[in-house]
Amino acid sequence: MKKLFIILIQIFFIYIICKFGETIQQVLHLPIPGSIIGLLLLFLLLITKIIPEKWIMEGANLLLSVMTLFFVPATVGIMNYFHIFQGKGSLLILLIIFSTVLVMLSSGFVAEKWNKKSVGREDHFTA
Amino acid sequence: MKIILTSILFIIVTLVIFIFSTNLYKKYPLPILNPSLITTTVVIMFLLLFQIPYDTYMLGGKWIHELLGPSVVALAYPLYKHIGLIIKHFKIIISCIFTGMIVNMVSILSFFIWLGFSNEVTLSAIPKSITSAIAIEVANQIGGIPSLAVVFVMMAGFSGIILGPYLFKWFNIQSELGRGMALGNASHAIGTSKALEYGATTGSISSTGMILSAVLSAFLIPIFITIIF
Repeated sequence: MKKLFIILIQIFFIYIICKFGETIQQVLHLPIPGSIIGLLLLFLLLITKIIPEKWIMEGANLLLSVMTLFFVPATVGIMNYFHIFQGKGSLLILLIIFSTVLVMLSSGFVAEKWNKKSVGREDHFTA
Repeated sequence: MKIILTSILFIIVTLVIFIFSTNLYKKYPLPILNPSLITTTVVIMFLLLFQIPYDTYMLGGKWIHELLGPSVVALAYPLYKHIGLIIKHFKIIISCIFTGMIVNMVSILSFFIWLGFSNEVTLSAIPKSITSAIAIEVANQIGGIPSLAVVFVMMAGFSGIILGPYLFKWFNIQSELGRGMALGNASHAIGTSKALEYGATTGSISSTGMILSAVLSAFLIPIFITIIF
């Protein structure tokens, strides 16, 4: 029971940081989503040790473990856009697959080549 | 009163379907049984069956949606936990992320404009390599359709984990850094679940790649879009 209470307090704290990020975004008319500003804010608070890890640890872990649930309502909205996938829209899936392959290969290659160069150094990763 | 009851009903329906699909995935961990894919599909089928419009569903749905932002903020925690990894490989990680981001943007823009898709559809596809929660925010920001963005995000996720193992073999991508970055940058959370199968380090690299690329994209995509559109 006490644990549940702690988790709820932590989630509320993270919620406040998020709202604060959204306020900053609106006041300064930034083109960045408010939640991202909140993310950076929390990251800075943690890294500068202004707040200890244990203040948010359990709340953050819970939010992350059920994150999938939180984007369901936004995704369900696709029911109003099925027509986009008709006709020419059926090509969309191929385009997305092709672009994903390109992103994957380019990212992977940069890491792979760079990593090979550093072979022999103590800190490289091996397969 | 009726509105409150309707809201509660849709919250409960979503929760029940979510719990059911999460348990199903625990029992049969197949990519196709991904909980968000199943939950979304079943909720849509439920709404279509009872002829409930999306806006009515959102009376309850918006309360669940309200926690999307905080869960994005919570990503700061794993990012903080991996700070050692980020510092150690800072240059490689940043180079990979920028490469991936540019390849993503250029490929989507050129294909979509070439084939004459509308701006709305094109702008929804640009955030396809970022994790759903942040993709929704970015799509909103740049004038795309958030739900369409999530559908593209899922396609990028699934194609990445299905094709990834072949690509790694054919193009000889063997290192933990290479595989982790490839999966995390192109296929976000779904890719990270695959990366974990290659080992804990590959998983950490993938999740770092996923979060950092999402944060950087959230900053750069809106700026880039304002310049070219």
